[in-house]
Amino acid sequence: MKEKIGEQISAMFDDELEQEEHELLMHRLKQESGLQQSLARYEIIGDAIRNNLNVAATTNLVQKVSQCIEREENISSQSAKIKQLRFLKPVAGLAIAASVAVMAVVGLQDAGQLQNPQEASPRLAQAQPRAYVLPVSSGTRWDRQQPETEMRLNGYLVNHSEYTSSISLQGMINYARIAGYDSKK
Amino acid sequence: MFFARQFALIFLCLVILPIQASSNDAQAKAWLDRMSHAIKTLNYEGVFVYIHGKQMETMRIIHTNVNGEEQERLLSLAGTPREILRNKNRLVCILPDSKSVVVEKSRPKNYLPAGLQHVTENLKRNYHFHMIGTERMTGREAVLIDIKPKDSYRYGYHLWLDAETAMLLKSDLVNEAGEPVEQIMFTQIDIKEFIPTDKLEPTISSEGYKWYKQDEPVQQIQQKKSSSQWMVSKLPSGYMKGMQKKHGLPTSRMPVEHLMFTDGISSVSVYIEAMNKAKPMMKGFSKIGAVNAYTTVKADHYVTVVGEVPKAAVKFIGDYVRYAPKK
Repeated sequence: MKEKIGEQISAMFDDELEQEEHELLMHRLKQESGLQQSLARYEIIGDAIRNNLNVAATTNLVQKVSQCIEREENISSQSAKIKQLRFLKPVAGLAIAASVAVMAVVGLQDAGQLQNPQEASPRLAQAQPRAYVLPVSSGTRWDRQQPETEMRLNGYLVNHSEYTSSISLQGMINYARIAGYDSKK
Repeated sequence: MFFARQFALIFLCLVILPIQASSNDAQAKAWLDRMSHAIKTLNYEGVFVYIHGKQMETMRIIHTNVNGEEQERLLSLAGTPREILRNKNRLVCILPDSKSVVVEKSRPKNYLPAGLQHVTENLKRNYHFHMIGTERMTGREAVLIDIKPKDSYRYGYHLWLDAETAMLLKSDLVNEAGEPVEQIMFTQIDIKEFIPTDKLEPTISSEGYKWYKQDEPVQQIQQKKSSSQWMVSKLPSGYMKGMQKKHGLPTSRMPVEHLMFTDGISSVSVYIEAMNKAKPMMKGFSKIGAVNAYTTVKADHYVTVVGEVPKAAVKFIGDYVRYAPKK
């Protein structure tokens, strides 16, 4: 039961909770102080992920995300078939979201311990960590959600990426926009 | 004594500092060249996060280069398992959520305009390059490089490159104000001598999916440059035409006029296709991550400008698209 509430809170912060479930969760949150603490924790986590991660914190986050992903992949490597992947999808998605969230907090706590100047290369000065806010942009799909327009824009984007991949600084990584394209969000 | 100090100060400002800045620029550019080479030639397998706005996607990338032949696979690890495969012949996007497979022909690799291939002057006119220092990234020592645009028609970058191999470890795409628009960050990367070919095989069964492929006859359609009736009469500073031709697209029935422009880092494509009243397209701006698109109508054609550039750039180029029929 506790796990389910955790999943619901996580889903709520990912804007993936159905309205009916959302109302029920809000009702329970008002009544149970333990759950309110969970919510506060998730709020901090969400804030950390969305707004206040500086480079030092992100560095630590990165290392811990990788551990999480390894665990994630141990699960998914056993399931090469699409049916199995589909079965795992909600669980895997939650595992990633929750693990990243927890790591974000740990990352923030550990941020001050990073950046040992002794490790700097003699050739170059150690760069100063940067802190900034990620601006809110569109989601994982075009913001003009008309099927015909989306389909054509997708075709253009794939074609454009293919023609410009040799010029782009990021190579194949440019296709992350296409692989990350979620037609349901 | 006073004059000697003044002279030393002036000498420092006018001679020493510019030389140092220029040397820093050159080093940064040399690192970028190494990075570009490393991305294409190394065998690597890694996981990265792609962050834009509130969204974060986790992806695995596998890249091999065997005897100069590149092969790549990119798959999303969380949510719907979308997958992109690329080799010398084709690019395949398997998209289970829309039950579709988009197949594109792989394109020749170099579309840099002749004037941009060996010259960094154009880049210097439009960007500041700066080597910032070193940082730990993805558990490795990384060199941090800043590329700052000089106007609002292109994005800038903060890049973290592996100090040993020059492989890209983290990239922040930033707007004119220096605010990140998109971030890509490797959480794990293994650079290997050899990667087995089965790692490049798709895991998603595309059975029952709708396939969008280019029809071969359409694919053959190529226009001589001189016969094109479409042009862009004015471009933002530094952009040059990389290519112009008419070709088929998997998602368009009719051949599409395609013009591509680049300043050597940022690139923009213009797609022009005849209006089809049965399949109308929305006019105006669209956006996904750092990619902006702008659609307008000219001479009964949809003109769409798409690129990893700010809104101002797609608007500028879209507004200067001209139809000039030959008489």
